[in-house]
Amino acid sequence: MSERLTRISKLRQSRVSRASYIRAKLSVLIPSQIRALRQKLFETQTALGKEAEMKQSRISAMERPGAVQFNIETLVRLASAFKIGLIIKFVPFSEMLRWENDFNQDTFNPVAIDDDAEFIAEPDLGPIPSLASGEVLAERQQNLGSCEPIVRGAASELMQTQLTH
Amino acid sequence: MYPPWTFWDFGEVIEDWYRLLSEEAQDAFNSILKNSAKVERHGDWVAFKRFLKGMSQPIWELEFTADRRQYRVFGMFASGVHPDCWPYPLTSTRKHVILLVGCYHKQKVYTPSDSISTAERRAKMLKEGRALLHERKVNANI
Repeated sequence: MSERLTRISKLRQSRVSRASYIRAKLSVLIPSQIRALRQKLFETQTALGKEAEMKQSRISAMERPGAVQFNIETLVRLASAFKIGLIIKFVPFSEMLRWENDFNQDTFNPVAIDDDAEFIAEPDLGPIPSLASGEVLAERQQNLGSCEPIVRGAASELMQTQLTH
Repeated sequence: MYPPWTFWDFGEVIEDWYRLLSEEAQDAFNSILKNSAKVERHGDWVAFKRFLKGMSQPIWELEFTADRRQYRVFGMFASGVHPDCWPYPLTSTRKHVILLVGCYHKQKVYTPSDSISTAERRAKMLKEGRALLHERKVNANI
């Protein structure tokens, strides 16, 4: 039996094997992403540490395979320091493998929020009526619901201003 | 497109070491090779630790942790390896990495304890054409 078939058989039969597999891949792919982003966005581990409020030694450990057991809050702090988002989602094993095969540390370069045109673009809400009826407001609220959070926040504030005047 | 790096084992010793690893360590090792093969600059490899000091030849160290154990792999680049060591002529478009020794590491102690001297001895054997290399197939479908 090939190594692949043996491995798949174990993955199907054993929860411990599945956990090992997932852990092993994440232990490489998370540090690899952190290193790629740190090298592109910060000159040094110290600079990233300052932004993320972590020690340089911790950043160094997080760039090494398996040296750190990450929790979500740590990843959130890093993502916010990099000015990018973070997705944590449960996926089929095949998708995880595809992610690993497609990932390239050299070309990994998610767009930071400052350059994220799709995210920061103002939605076209049309003219705001001087006397907003309940119906108009409900419709506008619906439109705003599909907007990204940062835009929604700003637009809601504007609507509040309309309502109070 | 092929990744820029190809990995080679010194004889059978790396495979022998690999087969004794836990599943998690095997998966981590595979992932490290798969990942590093695509990264042009070896200094950017996520597991690259350092070049060893005081060696007669440039030998470097990879590090990773799996199942709460620290692993080390010593290796070298193809430069200076005797042509007789290769199973076939190399193409100039790809870069080659040779894995010499795999071991454990804990509090500055390597297990086996002679891992570094073994790596140096094997590197010398390659320079003199007294060993054979086997291409390490990095399994992309698992």
